[in-house]
Amino acid sequence: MSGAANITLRDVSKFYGDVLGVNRVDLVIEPGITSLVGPNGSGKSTLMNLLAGLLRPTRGEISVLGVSASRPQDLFRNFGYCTQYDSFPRGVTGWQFVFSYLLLHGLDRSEAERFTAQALERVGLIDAAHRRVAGYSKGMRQRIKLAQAIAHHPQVMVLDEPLNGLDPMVRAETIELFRQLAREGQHVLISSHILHEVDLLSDRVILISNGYIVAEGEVPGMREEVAEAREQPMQVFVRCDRPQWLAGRAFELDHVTEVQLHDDGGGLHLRTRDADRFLRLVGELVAEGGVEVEAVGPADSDLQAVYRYLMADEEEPS
Amino acid sequence: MTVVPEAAASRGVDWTLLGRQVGGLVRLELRRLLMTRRAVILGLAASVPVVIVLLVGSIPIGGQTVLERFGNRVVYETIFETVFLGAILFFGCLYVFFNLFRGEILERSLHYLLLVPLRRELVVTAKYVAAVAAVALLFMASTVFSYALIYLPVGVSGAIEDLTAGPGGAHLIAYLGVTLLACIGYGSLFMLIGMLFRNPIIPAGVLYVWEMLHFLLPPALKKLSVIHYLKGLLPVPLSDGPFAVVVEPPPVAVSVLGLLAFTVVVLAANALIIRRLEIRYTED
Repeated sequence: MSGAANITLRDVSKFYGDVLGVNRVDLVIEPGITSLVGPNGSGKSTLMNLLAGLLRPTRGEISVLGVSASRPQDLFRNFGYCTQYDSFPRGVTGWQFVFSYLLLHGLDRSEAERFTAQALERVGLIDAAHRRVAGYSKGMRQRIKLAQAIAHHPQVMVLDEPLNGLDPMVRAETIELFRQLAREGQHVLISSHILHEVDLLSDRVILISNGYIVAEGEVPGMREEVAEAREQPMQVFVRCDRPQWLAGRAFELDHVTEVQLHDDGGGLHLRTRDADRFLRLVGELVAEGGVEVEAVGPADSDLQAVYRYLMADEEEPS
Repeated sequence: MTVVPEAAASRGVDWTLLGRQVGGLVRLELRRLLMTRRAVILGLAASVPVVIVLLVGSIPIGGQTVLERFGNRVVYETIFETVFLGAILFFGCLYVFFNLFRGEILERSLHYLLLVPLRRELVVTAKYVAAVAAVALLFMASTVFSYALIYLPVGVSGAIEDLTAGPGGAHLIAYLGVTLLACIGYGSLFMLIGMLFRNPIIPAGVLYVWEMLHFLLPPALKKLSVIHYLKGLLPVPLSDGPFAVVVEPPPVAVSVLGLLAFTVVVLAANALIIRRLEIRYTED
């Protein structure tokens, strides 16, 4: 499919000063439902704000259906964005919120009224349309933002955590709405930090962690990729007072494949096929008084680590 | 499927559509400015000169009102220059224009305006035009009402005669012009301050001191103050006191065109900033 029909990010990076937002993102997003999944703070919202032009990339190019994100006058004709921000213009009702947005699109009043009613109907807020948004529940505020994002029937919808705060019934209706929009040939990009929330409805999943895209593809294929990744050694860091001594002990273990001392002499990185066993050993050494540990943890931001995080969330009782 | 009008989807500019969009934004902003608590505060501020002129025109001190004793033109000029121009217009414009963008950043609602199919420069212009219209409407009404009250000693027939056959009409037009230009000039400046600073107290304080002490500045620096040009347009010359550095007021055309040119430059700076603006509310 041509670039003009897709969302394309080429070598996109965003830094906030020295802090990484996203790094070297290369993506082509085709029509259908695509889920952007990653832990909180992984760069999902940054990526979405970059697509909407609310942030400017430090490097790289972004185009949405062939239009640069730096051209709002063209971009937002076909782009609807439901942001993460749970804030609204003061004193506005649900109807005014959607209606005024459509007027700013240049629709005449009768058209704007028709599309406002249609959007509110689609998200199930028609009865609450003339109440102030400030009095809405969290779920209703999510839905009114969604109504605004879809009101002008854009071809691309970018929805930042759109299922947050929705009760199960509304959640099911909203998911069905996404499916319907995707069936109509539209791009629906949804972000979530809960994998199982989106993997059943998505045509495609993109996993993001620490600003890097760590995997992308269809969900079954990704599960296989994860299974392979789990066979790979995991990187662990330890900050301690006797890194050389600890390195020596670590090399005695058959599952440790690599050890590197930190330049400042205050810690080490190592690779192990059995991180749990290694961490148990560190615990025993600390208990014996052999070493004082300042910090210890996984140093990976790869698919395995991300998936573990996400699956841990999945395994938690909801 | 999209509801975008066909002409707009093409690369050419559809002026009708653009007019509807900008008009829609101006109306939206006008409603926000004139139908909220902000309008009540501005209205109260705008009524201060009216109340002052009413007091000096109706309460006799030693058998005469202040208007009668010192002459209505001199008294009005003094009130206009010191109270209205020197405080109310300045702080009224600061209140509205500083919050035009900064207020929305603090309320975390600015992104909605940046998610519409409009160039950001037009968003700035439309908001600015709406704010000038709203502020000028209130303050020009205040000018008309307060000016009408200087005729309390001479009554309606005297007022009509002065406004039609005397210099009163020209003076009123001059005061209205100065009010409008002050809204335009200060408005653009305060909008810029709102874009650049989270807290207006220091920049606005510095600007206020600069404007109020402009009469002490050397001639070259006087040209860098808005009030220098505005005062040049006032119809009744008043003394700035014994310490003032006296210079010839600039010609009317220079004052008007200079202020408008200054406004265009400041608006361009505003447009440049909003073009590069990123929505990162956590920093605000």
